[in-house]
Amino acid sequence: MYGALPGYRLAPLDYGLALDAAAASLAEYGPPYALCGCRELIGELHQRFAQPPTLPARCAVWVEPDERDWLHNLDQIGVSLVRGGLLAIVASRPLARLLPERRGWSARPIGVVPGGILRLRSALKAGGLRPLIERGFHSPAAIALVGLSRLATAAGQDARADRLRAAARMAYIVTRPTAALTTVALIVATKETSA
Amino acid sequence: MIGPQHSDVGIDRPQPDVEAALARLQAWLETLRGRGGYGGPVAHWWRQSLLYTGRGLDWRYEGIVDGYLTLWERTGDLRWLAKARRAGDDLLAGQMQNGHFAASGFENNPSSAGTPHEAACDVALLRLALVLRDDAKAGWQPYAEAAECNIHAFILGKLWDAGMGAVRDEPVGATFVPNKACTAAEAIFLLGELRADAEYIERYALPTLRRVLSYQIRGGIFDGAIAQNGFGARRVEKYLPIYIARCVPALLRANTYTGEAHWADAALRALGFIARQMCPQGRLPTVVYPDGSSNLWPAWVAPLGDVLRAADLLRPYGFATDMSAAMARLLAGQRPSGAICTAEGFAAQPGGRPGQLPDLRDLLGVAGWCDKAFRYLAGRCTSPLPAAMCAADDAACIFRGRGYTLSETSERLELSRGGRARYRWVKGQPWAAAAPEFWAGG
Repeated sequence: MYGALPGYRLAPLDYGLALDAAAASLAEYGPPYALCGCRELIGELHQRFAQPPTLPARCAVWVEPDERDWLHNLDQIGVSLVRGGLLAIVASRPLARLLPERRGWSARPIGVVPGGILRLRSALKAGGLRPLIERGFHSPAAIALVGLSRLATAAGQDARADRLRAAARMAYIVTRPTAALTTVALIVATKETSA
Repeated sequence: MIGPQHSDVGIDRPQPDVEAALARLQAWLETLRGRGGYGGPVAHWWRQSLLYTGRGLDWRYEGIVDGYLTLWERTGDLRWLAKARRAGDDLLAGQMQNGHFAASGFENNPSSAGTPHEAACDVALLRLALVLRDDAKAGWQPYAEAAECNIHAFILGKLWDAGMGAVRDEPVGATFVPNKACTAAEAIFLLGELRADAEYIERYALPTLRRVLSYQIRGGIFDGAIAQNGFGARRVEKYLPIYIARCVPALLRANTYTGEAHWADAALRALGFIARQMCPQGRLPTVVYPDGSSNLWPAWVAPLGDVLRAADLLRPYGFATDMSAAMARLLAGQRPSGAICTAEGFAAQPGGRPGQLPDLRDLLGVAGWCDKAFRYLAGRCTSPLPAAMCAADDAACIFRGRGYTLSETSERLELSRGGRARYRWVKGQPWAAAAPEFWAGG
């Protein structure tokens, strides 16, 4: 069911916004074939993609590819997706290790391994999936602006603090190469019509 | 004693086009209906939800249900009662086993357990149940039971803090948000009335409202202002007029229940503070800070409905300020589609001044803001509504520094740039198709 997860059990905003963006990327492609490599993100996935797909699917969403089975899953997605279909991948980046809410998560994401996103991107291309869009969520600029906002609050400058927070939200999502310094990646790829 | 002294609500004279505006707004609201309820993007001070566009079972239902019930009461037209019941049925169908309503997060959607949103849904359900019961109409019980389930499982089960003696904002911690607590108190009052059980009111609603009073400034230039929130003993001294207005209905319920004058006095002071912030054009600052500074942007339009409604509720208690400029601003904000625009100056929220073109978020009609205008205007309706429809709307706007053309019809909302669609919400669909510049939660 859309919106089933209680607000007090949501994953960090980084993942929520990346999944929203994935859903918006796939909105006109019908229900996606969905895979999730992280138990703690399954609820977030289900509350956004509530309808089952028909296979072969016109689109797919893959949350947190796991280093133990990501190549196998990539093959499976390649088979399940029609030519011209879209794949949206939401993957942690190395800096996601710093998120306190994420400590204790059971997954072993390929994305947090140094060079993991690069390997993923290469494997996509090798599998006939051409990346179209890549963004990073929770940018260094947003982190800096939130830090400045906290300082402004401590200094009693509440108006400035609120404006810095608003600026931080606008700076939250970035493109490459800065995306490498974010916590979560979103890659949208298309299955080439001739692999 | 402060109490209802007279029933003159005519200080802000009804404007001749209220029914026409209401009819157009109602027609536009109909276009937002998808599977299971009213959907659409959200623009807000804290965050946007431009991508999730599915049904939202949040505070939009408070104004929609109450607005339709008021229309029925004022016109006798059973179509409006049927629409109020249909909205109530949306809430019944979307309630989960844990008592939460799906997608009750508003700007945080998709998520459930939204505050004050689930309490506002309870208010809607209980108002519907009470009206149906009092009119000897069948089928009121499921609405009452759904609200009771949410109140017991969530508001009293998870948010009630015995140590604080109030309904807090989250299941853990000590965050207290007066306006949200007031919405919860309203729901508890209604449940107490429906079940003829004063214990709900005595044990939960009144203590919560006493804590709200402790957040109100007495004396000085901020007299009547209510601090936005607090963490334990620490109050966050920011004053947000539209949220202060949302405290008024619950404070008046406490006045009616107890007969104690200080509740109405608090409500009058709260609205007095708001009225002093209003400029001659009817615009309110979004936030007033304790150093006297303020952020004017975004300057709300559709949300003014809650301020104007609070003013109407307080007329019998002696509130006499002319609010007609705010009403004119609300009506002037109506788009050709029938939606009332959300605000003015969103682009200047991080600083500076608004540019010549409106921000996308300014123009956007948002169900959870327009419901407030809808409920207020329904309360001003004096004759049957004329026929109306959602007309096509095209306007130039900016978003994140780039220019777009916004086009809205009864079927879709689209933003294009250079002749290419960059954002498209096919009404009724749970997600908008959006290019990356619309992904930010900004």
